[in-house]
Amino acid sequence: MPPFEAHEHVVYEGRKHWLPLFIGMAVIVTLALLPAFIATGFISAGSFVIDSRGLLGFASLYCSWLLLLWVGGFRLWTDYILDIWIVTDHKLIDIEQRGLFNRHISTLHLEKVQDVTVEVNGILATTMDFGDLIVQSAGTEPEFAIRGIYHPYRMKEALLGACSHLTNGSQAQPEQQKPQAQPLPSSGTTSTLA
Amino acid sequence: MYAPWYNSVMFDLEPYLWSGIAVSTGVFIVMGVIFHHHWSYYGIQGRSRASAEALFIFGGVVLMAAAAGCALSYRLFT
Repeated sequence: MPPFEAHEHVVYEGRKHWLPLFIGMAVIVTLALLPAFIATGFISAGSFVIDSRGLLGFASLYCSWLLLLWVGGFRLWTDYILDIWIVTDHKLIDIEQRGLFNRHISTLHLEKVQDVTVEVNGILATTMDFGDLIVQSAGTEPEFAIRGIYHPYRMKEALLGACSHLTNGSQAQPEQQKPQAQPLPSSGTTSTLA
Repeated sequence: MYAPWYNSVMFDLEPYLWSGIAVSTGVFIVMGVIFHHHWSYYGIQGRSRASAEALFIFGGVVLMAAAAGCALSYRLFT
């Protein structure tokens, strides 16, 4: 679970672009169709003479192969769905799933955000609206980079909005706590500075 | 052109069929447990998780049954 604190609200959730997932899924579909195409090609070209029993054997092996690819497809989806960036009203959380057993979670407090840069490079990234979000911070890590995010400008707006909200809130708070000026006594003694 | 190794009379595929089913079923079960843990523990919520789990199990069971059915038919075929 993301490392939320009590009374912390999620402002925005960003994900990676779906293009790498789509390419991975296309590879899996190609691998699924390949044996069927090859077998059909060889049989129709007359390279093989296959009887019904052989066809059943091929079908069984093919189903086992499809089952492995089915699992592989879900593995890709899991990797995609568990990569997430969350902007809360206090923090920026970067959760990166690298494979099944390697999970990297970074947290940056919004007070430490100094500058936010969006980099969208190339025609593909521009047309499909994905890019990198680089956050300059005053923390131990000077740069907090989020690569390949979908809708990077929305994420930037959400992050800057949360930062300004936090700054305004922290500036407003001391003013509220400031004691109200006492009216001067209309008459009586004059206080002196020691 | 005739490929005699593909002739089921001369080349028995059955051990390979059951090995294939055993390996793919094993991978399916182990990965299913891992996916269930990851999806529930790392917070894929409610309906998405239920749909993903149902789809994963349904597809896997259909493919397993198909593979086993074809292997059994291969065995019984004369």
